[in-house]
Amino acid sequence: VAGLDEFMPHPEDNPLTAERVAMGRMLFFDPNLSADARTSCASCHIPRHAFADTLAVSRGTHGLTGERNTPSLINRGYGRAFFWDGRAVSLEAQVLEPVTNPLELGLTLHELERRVLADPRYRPYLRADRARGEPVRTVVARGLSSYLRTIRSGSAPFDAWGTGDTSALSVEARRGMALFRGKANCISCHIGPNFTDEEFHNTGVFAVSGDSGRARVTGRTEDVGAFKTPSLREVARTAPYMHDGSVGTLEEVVDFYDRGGRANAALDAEIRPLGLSVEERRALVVFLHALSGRITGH
Amino acid sequence: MLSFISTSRRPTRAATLSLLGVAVGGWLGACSSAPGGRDGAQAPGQAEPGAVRQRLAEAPLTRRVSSEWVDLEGRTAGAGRFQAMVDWSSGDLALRNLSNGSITRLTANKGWSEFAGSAAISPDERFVAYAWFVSEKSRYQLRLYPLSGPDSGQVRVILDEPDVVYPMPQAWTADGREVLATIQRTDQANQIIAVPLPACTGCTRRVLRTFDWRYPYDLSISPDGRWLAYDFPPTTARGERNVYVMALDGGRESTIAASSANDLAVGWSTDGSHLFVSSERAGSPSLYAVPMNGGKASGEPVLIRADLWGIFPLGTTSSGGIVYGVNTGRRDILTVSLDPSGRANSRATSILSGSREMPGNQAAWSPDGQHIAYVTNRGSAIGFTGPTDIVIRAADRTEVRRLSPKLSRVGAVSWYRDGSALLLHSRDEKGRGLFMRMDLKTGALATLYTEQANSFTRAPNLSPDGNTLYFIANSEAAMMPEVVALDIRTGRLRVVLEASRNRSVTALALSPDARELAVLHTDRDGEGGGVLSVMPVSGGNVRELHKAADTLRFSYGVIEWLPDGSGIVAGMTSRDDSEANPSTELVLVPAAGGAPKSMGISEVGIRSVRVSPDGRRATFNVFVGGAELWKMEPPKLDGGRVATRR
Repeated sequence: VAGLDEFMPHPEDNPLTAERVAMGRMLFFDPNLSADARTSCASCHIPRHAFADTLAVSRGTHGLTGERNTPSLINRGYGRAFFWDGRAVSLEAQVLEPVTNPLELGLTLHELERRVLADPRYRPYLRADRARGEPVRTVVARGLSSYLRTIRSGSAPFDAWGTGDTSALSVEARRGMALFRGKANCISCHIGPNFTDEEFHNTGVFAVSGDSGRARVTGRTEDVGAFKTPSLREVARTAPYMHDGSVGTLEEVVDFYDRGGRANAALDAEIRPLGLSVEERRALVVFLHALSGRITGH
Repeated sequence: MLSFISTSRRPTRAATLSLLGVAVGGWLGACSSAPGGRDGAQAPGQAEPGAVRQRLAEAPLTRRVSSEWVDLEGRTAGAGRFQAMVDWSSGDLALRNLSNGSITRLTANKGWSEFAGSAAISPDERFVAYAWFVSEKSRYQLRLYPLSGPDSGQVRVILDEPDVVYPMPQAWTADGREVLATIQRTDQANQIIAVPLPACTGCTRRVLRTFDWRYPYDLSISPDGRWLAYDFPPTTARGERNVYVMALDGGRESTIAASSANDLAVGWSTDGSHLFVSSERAGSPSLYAVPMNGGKASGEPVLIRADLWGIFPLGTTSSGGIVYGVNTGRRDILTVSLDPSGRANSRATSILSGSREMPGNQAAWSPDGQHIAYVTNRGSAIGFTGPTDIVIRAADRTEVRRLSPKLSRVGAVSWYRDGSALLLHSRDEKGRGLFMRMDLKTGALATLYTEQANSFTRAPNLSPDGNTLYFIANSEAAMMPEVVALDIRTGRLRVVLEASRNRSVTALALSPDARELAVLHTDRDGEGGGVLSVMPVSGGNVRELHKAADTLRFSYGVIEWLPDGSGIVAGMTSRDDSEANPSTELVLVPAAGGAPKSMGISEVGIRSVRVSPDGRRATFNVFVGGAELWKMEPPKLDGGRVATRR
């Protein structure tokens, strides 16, 4: 996929194999792995919406409403911190949490294992790991995280421009890119081919939602209201935005940052009023659309 | 198993890194987070001894290959017959014969609008990949120069992308079909890429790994082509580097050497059984061999040779040698006594007391004239990068204080008028210029100003009341230097001297009464030796004090007011380009106008000058580039020969 790294980190005990990816894909779309047997990972991480959904906050098993906006799974294989608050440090550590979260899939790990073992479709994939004495939950985590590593997006107009195709970006998109890297200062957090520093920043959104974000994990005052920088790959397809889904469009996102976020005691030092003109704000949005490309892992 | 990862302070990080796919061989040091990972805890200023228990009974022989025109940007490989390099007399790509030291120019550059940069020879010594600046595109290309074969001498462009600021070829894949380069992108992210040779039809360049604002360096591939070794700073706060090995066919990576000192990847043994690492963990730069197995450290490192001060790894050879540069340049801070007329009445002597420090370009007198503060590199293995300390010495040369702020690049230091703090000009982890106040009692840092993108701030001058900071920055519109004043209390910027195509400002000094600014700038046509002018701090009329004579030029950055405001000290250097290292003479230009007077001080490489508050002494920093090229015989471990290549 053009524009992305070939190096994608994985634990030594979970190299990417076709078998694990196939099993993970099956698990991802399996509604039986939820309390109401009607909800799957794909219910919120919808492939046609760049593996996000269109709701402000996710809706889980039995129609229960979650706490935060469903993050896109695009390029998460390159990630270093998972969930909006970064409480998981690897995909393997992340993937089982939604399964056991009562507001998401609502199973116990024991029930998850029981249902997987009962489903003959999974048996061929379980055999090797089970023979080594691996718990089913570990095999499931390896499979799901392997599948997530195949969900990637690159080959966007931005990538074509980067390798010398000067016609790939319109004049307005190029203007937007210059603003992105300059006056608008987006680059201070949305850096690199995946457009994220994988760090946590307080932009002031929490002042309304009341969600303390990263501080839930660290317990540190300075982390109150900080959330992980999301990738901007496919961002045009993942509305609504922010950890609480409180911003409906890309235009509104740009307006939010142009105003300098929302003031609070722990506002990130990079967030400040930008003084963008109407044309500049529009150019930024045009550039953000140029980050939509080809998605793999459907 | 012992590892080369120094004593643990936070052992629980190992589990975290393991989950991230980063294999760790044992205890983790304080600075051992994964590349691209979040910062580890800040390391203390002193290097810890590390876990080395073995040393070679017989250190391998070394010999000096050359001491003339040594360029440390180019590498050797293969049989090690040549080093690719830049001939800095012309900007050409050149080859140095490592047998006799002779240099052959490969390109025929016409003028300095274009020039070569970093270069790396292919393992079969048939090609040189090199960076080349193309003026009409205002960017670097990655080019290929065939040294032999039917297309010998026919230069090919192999990478020309608008998003690439600088391509730095450093190694080749084991099959010699791809060049491995680090690139800095326009968004300031750094990447390791593999660029195919033109003969590979349909091949495209691959991005192996993306990093953030920090860059990987010293790339080398294992002989079996499976592993890539490199060094990288694990934290954004300081410049120390660790050594990592990543798999080229997947997502595995191991930390090979991690400590709070510099650890550099030097190259692999020919059988891939060892990775050579340069480390300052024992207090001086030393070379070690780390046993390797499956891309991981597999045993105790062996000390090969200690006290390799100033080394730059330049590659290993198939015959087993290790080629490296040694920085022999001079960096010093000299002091002289002045008579009442401002003329030197003593010989210039160093204030560094024979230490191995590498001071920066500027020292600063404390307001009471009792101390001198300056920036210095701690350690010197890679010389131009790495951590910086701030040293305060008494006027009698005794070191009284050493500060190690959590900053990777401090460029300049000056004192607050009350002596309570230092003003630092640094760069943050994102490469942006910062002006910071460092409290000398607590060591606390406070950011006064972060520069806007591409504004390249420099030459800070703080008003006596500490409320206004004058500096040079590139204007957003014209990208030309202008003089601005920052109101520190409000954060508001005011342009004092607007950018102009006809006047490029190169240096700035605030008068003792804080009413005027002395500025060094180019002539109207940009062809002369520069002009020294003064102007009110409020802006307005620029009054020319002295224009350099045709045969002379003002030295960049050398400008200082006398404490009584009666004159301005500046440096004058010959414009005769045939002189490799012309001397700079310090002169005194009367503030009221008139001909400059010699101060009787002349040295090669003067970069700045500072006059003590009582006007009776002056210090000036000197920097003269210089390097030697050395080759080390194959190290022998356990009586066996450990040959090296690539």
